[in-house]
Amino acid sequence: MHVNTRPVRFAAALVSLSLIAAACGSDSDDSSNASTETPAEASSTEPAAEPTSAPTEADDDAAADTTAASEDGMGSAECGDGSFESLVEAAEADGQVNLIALPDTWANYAGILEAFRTTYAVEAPVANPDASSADELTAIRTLRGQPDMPEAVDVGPSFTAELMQDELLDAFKPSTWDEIPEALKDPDGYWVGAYYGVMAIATNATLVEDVPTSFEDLKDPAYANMVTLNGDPREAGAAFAAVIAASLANGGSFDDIMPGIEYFAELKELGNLQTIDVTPAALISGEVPIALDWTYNFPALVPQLEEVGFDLEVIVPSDGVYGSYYAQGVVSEANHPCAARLWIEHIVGDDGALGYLEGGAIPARYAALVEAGLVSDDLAANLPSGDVIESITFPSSEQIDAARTALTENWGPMVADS
Amino acid sequence: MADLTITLSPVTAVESTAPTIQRRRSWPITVLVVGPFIAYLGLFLVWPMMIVLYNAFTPGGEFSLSSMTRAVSGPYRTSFLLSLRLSLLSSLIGGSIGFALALTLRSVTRPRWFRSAVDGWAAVASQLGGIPLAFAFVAALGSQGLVTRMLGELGWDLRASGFNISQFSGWVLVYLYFQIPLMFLVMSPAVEGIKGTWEEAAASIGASRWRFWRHVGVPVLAPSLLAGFVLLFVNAFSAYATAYALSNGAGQLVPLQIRFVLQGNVISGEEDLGYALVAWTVLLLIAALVTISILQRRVSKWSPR
Amino acid sequence: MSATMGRRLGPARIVFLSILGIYFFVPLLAMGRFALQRIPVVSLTWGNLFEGWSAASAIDALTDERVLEVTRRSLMLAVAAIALTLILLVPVAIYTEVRAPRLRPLILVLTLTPWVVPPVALVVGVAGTFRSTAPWFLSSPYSLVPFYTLWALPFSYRALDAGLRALNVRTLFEASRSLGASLPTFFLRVVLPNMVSSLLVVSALTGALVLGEFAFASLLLKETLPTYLVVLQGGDPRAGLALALVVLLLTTLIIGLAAAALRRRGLSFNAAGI
Repeated sequence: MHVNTRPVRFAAALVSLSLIAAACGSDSDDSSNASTETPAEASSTEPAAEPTSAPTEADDDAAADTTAASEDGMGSAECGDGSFESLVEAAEADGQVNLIALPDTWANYAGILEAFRTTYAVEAPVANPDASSADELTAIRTLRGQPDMPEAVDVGPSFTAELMQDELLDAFKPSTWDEIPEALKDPDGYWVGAYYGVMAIATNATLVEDVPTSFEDLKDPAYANMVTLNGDPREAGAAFAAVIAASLANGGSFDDIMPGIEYFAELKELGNLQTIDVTPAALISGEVPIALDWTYNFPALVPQLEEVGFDLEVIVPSDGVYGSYYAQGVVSEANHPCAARLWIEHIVGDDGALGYLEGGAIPARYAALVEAGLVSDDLAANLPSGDVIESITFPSSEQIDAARTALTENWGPMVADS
Repeated sequence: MADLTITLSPVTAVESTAPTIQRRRSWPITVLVVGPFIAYLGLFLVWPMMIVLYNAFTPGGEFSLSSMTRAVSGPYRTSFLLSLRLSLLSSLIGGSIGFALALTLRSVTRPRWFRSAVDGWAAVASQLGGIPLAFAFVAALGSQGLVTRMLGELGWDLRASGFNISQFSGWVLVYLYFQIPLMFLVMSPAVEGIKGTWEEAAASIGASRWRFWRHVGVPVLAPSLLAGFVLLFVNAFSAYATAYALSNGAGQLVPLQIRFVLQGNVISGEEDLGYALVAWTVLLLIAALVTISILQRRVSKWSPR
Repeated sequence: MSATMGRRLGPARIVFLSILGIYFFVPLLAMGRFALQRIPVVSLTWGNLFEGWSAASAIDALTDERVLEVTRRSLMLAVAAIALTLILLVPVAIYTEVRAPRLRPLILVLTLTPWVVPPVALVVGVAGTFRSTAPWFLSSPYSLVPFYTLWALPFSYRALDAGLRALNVRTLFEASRSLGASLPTFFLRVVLPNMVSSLLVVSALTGALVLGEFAFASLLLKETLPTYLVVLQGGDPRAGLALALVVLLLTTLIIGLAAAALRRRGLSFNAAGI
């Protein structure tokens, strides 16, 4: 008679809720007006719900016992014997990996996904491509344990700590682990930074005569209402990076981003900062003449800009070079753990890395690729100069957390609300 | 068990004050009819709201008002003021124009397709929002907008005159796009309820149009008007996608602050603050609704029913 | 009656309607131009006003398999949301009107509250509930349906309520009872046929809402027409916006035709009246 277990459970939940309500002293004063309607109502609430009707797909059952813990990297027992071939085999048995927040125009993800889908017999649907890092975390928490839970993430560096703290990631060290610089991976393999980009000033040279080359230039009255951030730095990684870059340009450091916040406050006061977002539509319509964004966000848009006769110049500011990575990791308790690991393997492998290069992003294994002679001039066309790439250093996660706190406290009063 | 569901459903509770004879005779029907609705509301609305309220008042697991206090101080106070200003302005302006539109179209019967087209358009426009709507306005009134350019050719520099589509004045203008049709939809039936014969009767005893509206039309419509303004106000308060697509400065609006905080964007572990912001929003709007229904009752003694 | 007074529009009314018409259509025109003409505003002259027009990307988008698929899904969701709305609300609205008029103000307030709780808070609460009790629920795209119904509640309930009040259901109920009609008979033979226009308005508004709703669907990672439009706008803004415009106009047309059909029968498209 499991039919009866539902109302009972439901009622148990109601008990706790009504206790909650009572504890809050909120609007529960009418609880004394009992009526006889409850049993019928409670049973009508959850018509077909039986505890046993959980996920039925075959994959899920298989996945259920393999998800437990996988601290070791390549040699994780569940996904083959540690060789690449056996990982592929296990991944193809999974058949699918649920990805999230990978826009086609971002760092050539269109090409990287295409290569993955054609190379392996693994489906790779991307949910909500335009999601922010925060949306990814929300999605993982909301959809935990369900067939469409995201299984690999691509998040800004400031989100890795939270992901690890809440045990949302599995450790996995891809076969190219040793070629990934220390700064671009978690020592235990919970994430790798498969690519990084540099903060750039992209100028629509058709609309703007003198193309600015530095943060200092942007203060020029000629650029009134033109300078555009990609989002609110408290939420969007690209805008956050622009603040750090501006800070470096103005005597700040990874430990002190106040000069960056002050810089944008000044820019706003001068009337040069416009508050619209950098979107493809805004760039193509000319609404955004000067954009601060990652180098790798522009190559995909250039053909559409050329089509309407706009000439886009992407310049790394001479006074503030700041590069940052996005971190990729396997989500814990994934339904397709091996396919998720294969995805990580793919993006740090040669195919994925060259794909990033094509989109203007710098792959983690850039040095190794150059050494192997894989970086042709054509591929390097969208990259910042070699000097710039070499000069990039990354802040530590403690520095990022501190910067975020400073930004949260000061951006509102100093820039957004002023 | 019987008592507990009622906690979640004030509707049933109040309903039990209805005459008992009627209830006893028809309670199976009552359950059949109202039960599913109550259960639905309980599950998808009241329950999540209870969780929110519980979290708002118990930051860190213990009862405390600290989150609630923080949620209306400093930057968050600014947010509430900004959202209130936007909602009030857009609902007052949009409500007035929407009402005027309903009055204007009250007796327009031809061309025959016209009224149907307006109705269809109003139904769709009242639900518009987000990126398409924001971009439509940017394409028209942005710095590279079509209208901006045309006005520029005529010698009027829109930007120099202080208007900016991605700032407060722009948000209000864009909000009107869904506020006006919503008010129109909401007011049309009431306005059409004002019988032409009343107006003729008033005219026949020598009352001017103005006097008719002053003494008959407006008092009769007052409850609907009040309710319409509140509906618009709530609608504007909760809408955010459009403003956000227009301008990252809209991140200061309360619904966006809630999203920021709840997603751990600001400082992780501050979710309680997000719940407190939700709780304040709920309390604020419920207070507005209660005030209005009291006002409504006061003015409705003139209305037919 | 009123027809004699206001059939012709005075000049003041014409000016007022024209200004509103400009306000409502110019932004759409500007967006349509951006979507279809490959010339930026800044280089637009009288000379090239008719150059560079191309509907190619819009047509590509329209015939895209994925677009057809998400459109179908969104339409299914709309139908489901409308059905749920009607099943849940019609009996309650009638019951309130006939049996418990005292409840009415309370229900009216209650039905406004969905707009008060932001989607992200609602999702957090609901997800927490269902993850432990019914994990299958959130993984189906149809898990969006109750949210759509909830979101439509403020106006859908009002539309039904307005329709019923105009009918004067309470009197009808007393009359049919004295004639010995049972409650189902009263409901099916008396009330429903007289509520066609309210039901249609509810359906139209709910449908418009489902075809425009973005926040819930994107938070729950469901792919619907509106979320897919945003994806499309990211890759090819012109195609995405052209498609958004097409959806907008088609929905308007369908609802407009429904309203016209009602009018021909002498019924009015009495929308979400209060």
